[in-house]
Amino acid sequence: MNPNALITSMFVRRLLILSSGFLLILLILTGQLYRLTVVHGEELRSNAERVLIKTRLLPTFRGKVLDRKGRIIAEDRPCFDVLVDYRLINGDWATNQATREARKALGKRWDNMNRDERSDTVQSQFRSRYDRQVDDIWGKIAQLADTPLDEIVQKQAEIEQRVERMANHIWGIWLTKERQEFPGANLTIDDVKKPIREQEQAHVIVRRIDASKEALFHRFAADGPRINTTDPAITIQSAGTRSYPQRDVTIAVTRSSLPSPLRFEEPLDVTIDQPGQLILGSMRDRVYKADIDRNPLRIDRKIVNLDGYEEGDHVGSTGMERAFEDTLRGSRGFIIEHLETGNEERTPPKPGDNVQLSIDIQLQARIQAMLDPKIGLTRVQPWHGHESQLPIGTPLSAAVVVQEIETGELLALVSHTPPEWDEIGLDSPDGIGATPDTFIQPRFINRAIYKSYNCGSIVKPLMYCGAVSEGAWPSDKVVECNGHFFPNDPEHYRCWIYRQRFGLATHGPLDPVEAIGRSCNIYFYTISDTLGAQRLSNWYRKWGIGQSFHLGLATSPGLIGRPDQLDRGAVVMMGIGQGPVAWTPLHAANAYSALARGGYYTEPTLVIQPSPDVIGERLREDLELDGPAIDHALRGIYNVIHNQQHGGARQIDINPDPAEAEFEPIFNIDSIATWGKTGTAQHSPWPMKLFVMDEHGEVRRGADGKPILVTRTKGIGAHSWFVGLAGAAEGEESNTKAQPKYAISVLVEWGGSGSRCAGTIANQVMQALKDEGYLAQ
Amino acid sequence: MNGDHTPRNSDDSKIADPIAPRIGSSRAQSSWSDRHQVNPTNLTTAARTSVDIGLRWWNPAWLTVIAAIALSLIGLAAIRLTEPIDAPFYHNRQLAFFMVALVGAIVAAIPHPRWWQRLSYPMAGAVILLLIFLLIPIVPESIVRPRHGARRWINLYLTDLQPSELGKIALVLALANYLRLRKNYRSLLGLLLPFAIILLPSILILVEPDLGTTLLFPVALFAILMAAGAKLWHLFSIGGLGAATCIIIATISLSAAGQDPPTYPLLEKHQVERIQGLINQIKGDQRQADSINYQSFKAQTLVGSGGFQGLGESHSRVVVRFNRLPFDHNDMIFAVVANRWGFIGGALLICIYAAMAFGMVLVAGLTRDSFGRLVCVGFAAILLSQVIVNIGMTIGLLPITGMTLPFVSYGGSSLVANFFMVGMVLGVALRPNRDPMLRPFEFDHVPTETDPLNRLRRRGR
Repeated sequence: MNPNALITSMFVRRLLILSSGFLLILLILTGQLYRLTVVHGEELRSNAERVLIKTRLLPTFRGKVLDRKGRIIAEDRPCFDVLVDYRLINGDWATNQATREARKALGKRWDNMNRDERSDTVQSQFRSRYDRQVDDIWGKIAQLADTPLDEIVQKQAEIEQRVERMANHIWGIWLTKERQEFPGANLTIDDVKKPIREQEQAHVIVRRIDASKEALFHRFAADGPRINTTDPAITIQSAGTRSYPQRDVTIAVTRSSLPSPLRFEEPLDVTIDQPGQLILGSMRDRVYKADIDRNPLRIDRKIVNLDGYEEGDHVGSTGMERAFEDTLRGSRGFIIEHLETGNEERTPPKPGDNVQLSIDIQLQARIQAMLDPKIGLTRVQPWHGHESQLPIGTPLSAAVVVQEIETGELLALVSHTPPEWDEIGLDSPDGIGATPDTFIQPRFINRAIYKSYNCGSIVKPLMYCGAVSEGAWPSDKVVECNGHFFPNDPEHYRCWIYRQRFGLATHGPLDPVEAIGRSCNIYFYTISDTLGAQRLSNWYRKWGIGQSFHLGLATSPGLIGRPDQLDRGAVVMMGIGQGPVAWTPLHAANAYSALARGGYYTEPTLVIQPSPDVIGERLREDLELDGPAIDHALRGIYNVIHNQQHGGARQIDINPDPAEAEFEPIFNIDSIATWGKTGTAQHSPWPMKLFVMDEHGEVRRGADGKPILVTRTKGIGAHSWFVGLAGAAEGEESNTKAQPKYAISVLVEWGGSGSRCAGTIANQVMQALKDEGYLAQ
Repeated sequence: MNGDHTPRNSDDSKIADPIAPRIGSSRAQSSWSDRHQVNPTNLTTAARTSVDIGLRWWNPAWLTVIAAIALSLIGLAAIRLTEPIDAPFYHNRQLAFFMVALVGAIVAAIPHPRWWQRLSYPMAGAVILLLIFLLIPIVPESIVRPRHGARRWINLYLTDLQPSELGKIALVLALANYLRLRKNYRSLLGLLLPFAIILLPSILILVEPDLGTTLLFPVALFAILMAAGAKLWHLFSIGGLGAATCIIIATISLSAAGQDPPTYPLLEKHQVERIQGLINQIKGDQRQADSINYQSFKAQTLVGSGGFQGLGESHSRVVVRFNRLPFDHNDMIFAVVANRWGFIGGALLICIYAAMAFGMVLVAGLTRDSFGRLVCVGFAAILLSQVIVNIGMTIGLLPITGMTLPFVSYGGSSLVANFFMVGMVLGVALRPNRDPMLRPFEFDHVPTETDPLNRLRRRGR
């Protein structure tokens, strides 16, 4: 049908066309509206409602680090920051309050004023009251925080300057953008001057107030000024920090059992900066990318792990703080704030778990104090004798390990560095790495676990036990010492006694107990020669060499030559712990613990809680030692201390005159049972930096006050070893029946004689154990 | 049959004003005869004169008026929703504007439409002067203060005046006045002249810049020309040409912006970005949801979250507040409406607009006054286009441009101007010229035997 005939009016037809067109478009709009509201309604609604929920994270507290007796070594102490809204800082709050009051007070007059008149009126008539109020607030904050008002005012000015600078910078960027977008629009900075986020935020005005002040501030903030009807202008925010209650502990060091030239009846107070710091480690404020990659708090702004990391977190950087980071860290809590209802759902933070170390922090501190140069044991002394070729008074570095035999737990792990080294500084040309080796190394090298030394004679009982258990050596075999191992070579592979100054003496025929007690080299050259390279290496490995322990701290595995590359000379030398074999003081103490346990070997540990196996499974192994061999070895090392005739560590000559002798026992502590073995670890004559000593035995210093160092290539001497076992004495006379409870190893770098240098320190370690109640009967 | 009695519109290229010489006679007769459903040929002159001053109260313009008031009330409720409960600043101002706008509508309805017709050219001139004034750089910022980089408002202290809102009215009036007695636009050359008329105000508004309002002008012109009987193939050719030009400009701009370094030869950077944003959005790419498409995504989220029946007042208030949709009380008000009242509310709003436009179209159809017809069509087209652009951009079908939703969005100038249009439509409807002698824009009319004009003619009148 012709539409023209149906609707005769052209105008009406045109109206119909137009209306149809518009109607069609309106239908399309309705269709899209339907799609959004009905088809995608649920999804979009959840998107829209997501912003109604605000999630705020709550900080967590890091777990404590405790010592074996439950003393706190490190903890997070709750502390708080006081924040003040920027509008109170820059005076906008006072202006706004005054304006509001003026508007109310002036009514119609206010409406008739122009902007300048209003501003003048507010400034002249209404503002001063609020300015005074703001001044009072600053005064109150200073008073509550116990801080001078000047500091608060200065802080306030700093914040204002910083934020204004930031705002101007950001406005500049906005202006540039707007100008690019609207090139013709002659814009000025006033067109883009919207408040930046920092101008509507609170800023820290007082840092780290403690919990007692926090309560006061909370009350003050609650009653204080408000930015709008709900938000207070002053807020308190948690800012937990790590604190170390054992810091600056003062130890009264017993001096009554020291060698008589150093002996005093009254103890000496020594303050230890932070005992066990190398074990505990430290925290860092910076979060590395690796931390975030490993365990991110958020991915794409979404919170994925409450125990994850983000910028501003504190992270364990070294030591046990790092090793047990995941245990100690804890996870954040959060508050879900429902903006619609104002309700809050609170999930409290989960504080980190505590870590209990096996260290006795008091014992650790006591041993550290005992090694203080003021006591004198870590300086070259006249009675150290010829083995020490350093001037009297030269400060020495040392390491001490104390291990509980039964459990393998370490009670103390001390690395002593002479304080003089700190004065040289790492950045000086004499600092670390300036020479292939250095006489002393920086404080952060833990000598007890991280530096390997030649084993020296302390391995002799262990090698004997190994050879007997291997079936290669009868347990009671007698060897005749004739001074040198190879019949035709009296110059090399000699016994220590076969020297000019002893008149080329020999030990003669020795059974194993005597051989150990007198530390005869020939007996053990023979053992190692009999064992051969492979079996000797195996036994060294069984005693722990080549193994990095799972302590949570970096340890050195020690060093041993490959059996297929060892010639006979090297093998023979390894029988007395020289040649291509080295270990740490920890290896030594742990090997002696295994010996004392009857051959049951276990890895040492530094933690009681959580299980040390968190770090890595501890190696536990029965070495299947021969029973009589163990007995001989223990009797041998008992003799080292107690044999009045031949004991290698029985006495020192304290008379400085070489011509005269005045002996006194090295181990002089009553009512404890002691075993021990001395050792001397020779060292290749590399060029070394040494301190220069003056005639009074003091370190000589240059014009800048720093110690003078000199390079020497030869004639420095050897490291001094002593490994001992200690237990409570069983009755009056017979210590042999007593059970050793603690293994102690002592190493003094360049200390020379094992007995006279390291032995005297081992005696004081036993004194410290006794002082701390470990060797009570 | 002589030339004087031939229906004028069918062959005269330019005819005299059909109303002016007939006041008190045929015009009055027409309205009277309409009301009494009698054949005018039977009436005496006296009878016709007696109803001369009567107004036709019962007319479809009331549909438009009621729709406009309903929309304004919905707008007030929606604006109220975007504000804090205790500080209804925009709502109160809009309420005041609404009162003023109602007065404005009455003012617009009172004079006979012919007075607006006579004022149309001076009004257009005045608006053009105001638009030029906006662009004078030396005008102090206290009077013309750029907002978001645009110079669109003149500060009148109590409120701001947006001349482009007046421009819409003035343009429709001027076009209606220009076209009402012509037929030259039925030729292609003559059709181009009206386009020339809208060129100057379009350019002035375009450089403010206000692309959205500028685009309304050709749409209004197109609708007016269509109603006025321009040849369809002319109109669609020009429309197609315009659309093709837009597509070419957009394509060139997008490819130039995609180069390294990007260049912006035809459109501004932000305009290209918005087109690009729309394309990405339609593709479902949400990567720009935080940047260039932020506003659009937020608006769609709010629209969609209203669901079928809306979120209810308190919930919707919170959702709207915390989603921080920019311009939620003016340009994006439809999102608030859909959020509060859901699909039902949104669809109802669209229906009310359709009813409002339908009222205007009915008025256009029932009057025989050529000026009134074009004014009604022009206003309906301009309002509906604005509705389509605004809702289209809010629901993600069109790129974001600064355009208010008539009657609903916050804005004094816009509300007053829109009610002014409603008032004028009412004015036209109150005085529907039913003169059977008038056949404006009926270019294909063939006189028949039953045609009253023929009968009159036969009787020698």
